[in-house]
Amino acid sequence: VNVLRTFMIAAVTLFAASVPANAYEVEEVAGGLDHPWSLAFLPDGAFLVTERSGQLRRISVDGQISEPIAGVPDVLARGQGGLLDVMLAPDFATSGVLFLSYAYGSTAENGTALMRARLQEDRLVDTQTIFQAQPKRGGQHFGGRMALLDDGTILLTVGDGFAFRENAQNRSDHLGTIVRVAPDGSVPEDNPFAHEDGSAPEIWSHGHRNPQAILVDPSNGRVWAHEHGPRGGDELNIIRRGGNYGWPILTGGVDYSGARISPYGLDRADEFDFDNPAHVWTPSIAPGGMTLYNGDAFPEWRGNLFVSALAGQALHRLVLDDDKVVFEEVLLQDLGARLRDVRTGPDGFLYLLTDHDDGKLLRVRP
Amino acid sequence: VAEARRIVAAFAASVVAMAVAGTLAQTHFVLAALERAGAPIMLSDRLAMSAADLVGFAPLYAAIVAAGFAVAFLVGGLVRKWLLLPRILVFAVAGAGCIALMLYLMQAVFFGIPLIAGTRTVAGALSQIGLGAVAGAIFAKIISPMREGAPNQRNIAT
Repeated sequence: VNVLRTFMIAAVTLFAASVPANAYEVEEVAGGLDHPWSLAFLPDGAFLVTERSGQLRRISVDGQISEPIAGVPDVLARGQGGLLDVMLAPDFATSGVLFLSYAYGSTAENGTALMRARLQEDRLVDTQTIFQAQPKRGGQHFGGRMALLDDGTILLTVGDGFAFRENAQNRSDHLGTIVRVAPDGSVPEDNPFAHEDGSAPEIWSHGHRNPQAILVDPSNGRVWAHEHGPRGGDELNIIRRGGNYGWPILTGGVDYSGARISPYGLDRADEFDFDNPAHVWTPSIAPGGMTLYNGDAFPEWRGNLFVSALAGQALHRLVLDDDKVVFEEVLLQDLGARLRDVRTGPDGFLYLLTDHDDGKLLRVRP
Repeated sequence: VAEARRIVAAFAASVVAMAVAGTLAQTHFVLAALERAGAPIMLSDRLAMSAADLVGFAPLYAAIVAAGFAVAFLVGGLVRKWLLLPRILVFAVAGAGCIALMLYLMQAVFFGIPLIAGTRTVAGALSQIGLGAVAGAIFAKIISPMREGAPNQRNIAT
């Protein structure tokens, strides 16, 4: 069985490696965006894009950028904070309901928050804050990416706040966790720590540093998330209910200053009962967004994970064999752009956001 | 020339003392926080991480400290020129003030977050500031004349 498995992985790898590099082209859909962070695809073919400085804009099919949509919450646009993710409800076409994640508060006291709202023409109405992480100080590590589970509940990543990394092992607050809430903001009864004294009931998993992408594989319900390591040790994880991903006790990176964060490197993972990463990037690529490609435009890429890299300024294509990464290809390095987000469009093309003052929405097509 | 050598040696000794002691202090504040978070920390882990930080962190810290001390001790020397204060007091305050200002500036630049993890608590920051005072005192002690009545006593101090 092992021989057959090895042969199949080798075959997949060879096939994956044989995809011609010139099989796609990159075109600009829109430019002039202020550090765009996330995008969603509207039923009419247009896009909703968040800008970290606090604007939500509609971009038409032909690339016309709207004025800011009214009703967006006040955000803390400082450091890594600001307006972050946008996600449409499954019934958006009829209800207009969407969700926004953002950094709230001041530099002295802030956190990650989640808003539910209804898009009505060019404004948000019926806005309701359905989750706020407990406040911390500083302007870094908000996480802020969302995913929708099959049961309609929402997973939201919450960073460790940078200076509070040990809190990721402490379930009494939301720092360094992924939380799960219902669309109305209530806490699902079956959350793993909902009935544990001293634990924040919204926590779904913990031991995270700064997870900035999360998605659900619709074929099997598996939840993938990646997170920024410090200097080295960026991780791709499979998120399970109640999981502990080890940060900062177990890490593949060191501090930006060069100091060690822990005596325990990933080579000592067997000394703990933590959930280990499915893939690690050292040196760091600073992963921004992620999509599980399931479109028709690139049949040879179906089932691959695409991870956009900020510091790495590239798009990483990961070939999976069940829960393992068996091949990695680095694409689009020639763009020389920090890639904040990557999504699969309804048309099967890949869409990218570049993280710059003059940020762009790009389309990758055959 | 001998005075200049002594000043250089004093400066180097104070920088090395600050970088080494400061690194070890920051390492053990980090380990204490990890321990509180539930990590088992053995003596061997402490020693290994201390050694790793002396290699990985201390050189950068030494460079930053050297730049700061160069300015701080120059200012200390000027202060002593005009005020008849004890040499050790002046340079200890200069060393401590330098580290305090350095930590403040690093935090201000990085959106209110301390870049040196071992200074995230008041105790951790105070330990670095205290070591800055000790390093300043070392500088003052080394540049002090070896014997009473040594020549150019005032000049050496400045």
